[in-house]
Amino acid sequence: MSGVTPGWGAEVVMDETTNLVAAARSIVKFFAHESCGQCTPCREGTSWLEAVLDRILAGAGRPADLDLLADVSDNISPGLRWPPAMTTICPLGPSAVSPILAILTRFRSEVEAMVSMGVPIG
Amino acid sequence: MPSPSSADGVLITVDGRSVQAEVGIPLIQACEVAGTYIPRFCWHPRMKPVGMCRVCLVEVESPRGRGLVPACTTPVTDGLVVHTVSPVAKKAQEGVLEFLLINHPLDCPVCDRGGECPLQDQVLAYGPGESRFVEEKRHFPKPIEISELVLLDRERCILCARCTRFSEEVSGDPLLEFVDRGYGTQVLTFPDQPFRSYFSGNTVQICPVGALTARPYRFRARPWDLEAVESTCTHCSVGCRISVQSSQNQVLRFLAVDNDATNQGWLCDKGRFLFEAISSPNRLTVPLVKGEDGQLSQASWDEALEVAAFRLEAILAKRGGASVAGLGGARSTNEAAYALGKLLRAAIGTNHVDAQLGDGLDPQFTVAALGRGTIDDLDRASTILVWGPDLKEELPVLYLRVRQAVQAGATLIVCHPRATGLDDRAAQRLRYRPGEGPELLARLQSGEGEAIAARQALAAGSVVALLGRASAGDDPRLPEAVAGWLNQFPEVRILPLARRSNVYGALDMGLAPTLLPGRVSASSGQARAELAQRWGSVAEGVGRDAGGILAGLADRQLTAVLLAGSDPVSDFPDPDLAQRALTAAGLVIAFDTFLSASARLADVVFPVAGFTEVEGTATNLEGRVQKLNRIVPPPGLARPEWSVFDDLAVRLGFELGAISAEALAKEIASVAPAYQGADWDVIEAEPEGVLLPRPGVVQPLRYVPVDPGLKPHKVRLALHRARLLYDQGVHLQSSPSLAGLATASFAAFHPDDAARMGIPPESRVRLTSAGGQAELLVRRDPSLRPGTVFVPIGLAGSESLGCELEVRVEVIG
Repeated sequence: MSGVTPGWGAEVVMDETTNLVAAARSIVKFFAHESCGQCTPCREGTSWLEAVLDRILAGAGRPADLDLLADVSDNISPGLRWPPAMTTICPLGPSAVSPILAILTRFRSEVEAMVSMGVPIG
Repeated sequence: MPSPSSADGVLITVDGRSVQAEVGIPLIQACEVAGTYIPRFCWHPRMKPVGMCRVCLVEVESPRGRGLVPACTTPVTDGLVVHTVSPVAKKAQEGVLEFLLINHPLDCPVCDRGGECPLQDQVLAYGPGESRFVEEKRHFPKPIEISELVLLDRERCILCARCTRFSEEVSGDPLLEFVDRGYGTQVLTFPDQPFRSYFSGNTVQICPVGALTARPYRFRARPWDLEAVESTCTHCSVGCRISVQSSQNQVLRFLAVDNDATNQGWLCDKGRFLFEAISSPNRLTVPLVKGEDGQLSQASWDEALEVAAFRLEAILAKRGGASVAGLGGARSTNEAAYALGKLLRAAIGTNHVDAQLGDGLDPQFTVAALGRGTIDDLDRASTILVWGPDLKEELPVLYLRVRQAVQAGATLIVCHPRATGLDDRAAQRLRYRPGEGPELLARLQSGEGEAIAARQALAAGSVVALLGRASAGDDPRLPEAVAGWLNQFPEVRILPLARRSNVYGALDMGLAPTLLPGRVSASSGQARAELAQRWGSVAEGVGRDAGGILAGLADRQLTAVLLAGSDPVSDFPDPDLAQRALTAAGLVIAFDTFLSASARLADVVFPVAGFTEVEGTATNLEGRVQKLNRIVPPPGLARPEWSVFDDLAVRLGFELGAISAEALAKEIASVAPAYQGADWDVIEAEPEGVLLPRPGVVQPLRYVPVDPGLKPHKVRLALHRARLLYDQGVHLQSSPSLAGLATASFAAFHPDDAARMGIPPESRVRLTSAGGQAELLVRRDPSLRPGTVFVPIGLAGSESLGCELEVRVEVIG
């Protein structure tokens, strides 16, 4: 079957200078943009996540935003587990949740630092 | 698993309770039947589920563990185990409600939906206590006018797709659609295409928020200030159930009630918004008597009754009862119609009475045809034949029922001179020129040409035939001829179609020359004798129909006429004859809610209470009796019709015995054979009303339709006249929101005819018929059978044309 692509995936390589909130925001933004808008959790949830990340990046983050991001994600993909459960019609909404989960679990201190500094990131 | 399941259902487990449920129905519905309410926005019991809003998420058990599914798109299966209030289900529902609220403006205090808003109510019951959303909400210009009647506020919209699905699935005019996607998704009309639907009010009623509002009700009341009573719409003969809502003695809106037998939760916009006419300043509020100067002027009830009775008595003494006639009753309640019949036949002594105005069908065929069906029969039909009015224009909710039946698999055949609202669903569209109906019938009978497939469909399986006057130029016996032919097939049900209001009730009450109360033939000597025993007397002799009455008045064979909510000058196919008749009459007494064109010619005008102002019953086109209720007092000194008839009878020395509408209803149930057992308490107890005759009751008349062997009338250019929903009728023109929707009169030509006759587009033509002339704007209608010109009835500017079959054309510019 050489020369045939059975599917696609993507790997993004970032160095240690990358702002991971900004990285997460651009992935979430992609999914929010791709959302068809048919079902409520994806239409409203992905754009809400994007707005919260935008706000944090603009320096107006609040400590409560970490729990908020986690819970909004949970309302799109209950349990935040793999394979994802969904309140949505299709898996697009739950896909938007994985970068949030990644920054909240693996890079939590970075998000917390950004929220507590409260200055816009260029 | 617990055991099985009876024939009509299976066992499912809802929150630990084992309940019966019907296989295949949506889980949300099964749970509701079992007493467990699951929140919902997009789901509507009369539309297909789409699972879009996601608020009805519940957990169901499967071999792979519990999973969240929308209860609206999950069908019931045997042994299904569902958790509607488990922590996971609750969190999902709460989460979705929070999502729906984040971009929803909290303008509830100025929103018409506030107080009866499913979003408000369900957030209160199932949602989170507060919102965590601190970002800027989504903004749209608000509200935008999407039609003359409906406004759209996209900020309030929660994108449940109820309105878009209604337009597509139910009413068949998909003028509302989603545009854009994701965060920008919105409901909108197409550019330059307003939401001009005859059914737009339904989208307002089913909108779960205040995104769609209707002009007639906007900012008029708060829901908690409204009083409501259930009643029946009597603007046409379908008999839709409605909730009449008023505040401070003013009717402010009608909402559809879901009556499974008739309207199933829908209304047409005319029925829904015509309520404005009730509180019109043009209503008649005091009696009027024509003075020596020929002008109508105000009088007291005593004076007016005295003048009417005195002059009527003089005519009776000089020329006898048979010189008097009655027209109308089709807008009355059954009780008032019955009292009118008794007044005419017993107190006055005449059989000249007609509730139809020359635009109807044979009265006996209409109410007592052998093989008469019900609206519900449509859902079981394999073939539906519509040979009659364009249902979308004349009986709009029946049009919805036919659409639904076709969607469920029935084959539809439409016979009409031009495309009707149903044609997009029709398997066979047979067009014919007015007057040439018998030829089309012959083609169907022999199965020739285009009629082969139609004939095959009609001869096999269960058939429901909706038969009425497709065109005023058609022979009134044509529907009967079609019925006579169809009756040879084994499974045929017939619904004879008359349009006007409570015309079936009026005919059932004997307001036709050939009928006595209760579906009894007037030519039955025994029935006449029995009725005379109850009434004291019943006039002898053969009665005249509306045409005969007007002709009799015009040539002074008849002297007096009573008009009960009847306006022959506007509604009779030959308005010129009607005008001459009422001018020549020695005495015209009108009972009306408005000063109609005919009432203007009356000598005495009595102001009567109308719809929502009186109690009573009405009978719909399938013979179903439903209750009408009162919620507001009549304007000024107006009184219920039956009480005016009673007073007039008393002054003529006759006791009608009409002490109340309820007493009249009791009398009807005992005097009118087909109405046996139709007491008010029985009718009120049945949510769907009572279909007559009730089981075990024998209806004396079973009219066997026979093909009278009609001959086609061929003319060079045939005039097709039929009604449109919005016209110059007095009720519509007294409803400010609807009045402007009536178009100007026009003459529609087939493009080939227009080319042949040299009629340029956008030109004006003069049409000349035997009745008169009209100058009209030209339109093109490629769906017309060539050789036919269509001029709607009831629009300003074409009155004098009449309903003649042949017409001549000249271009005038």
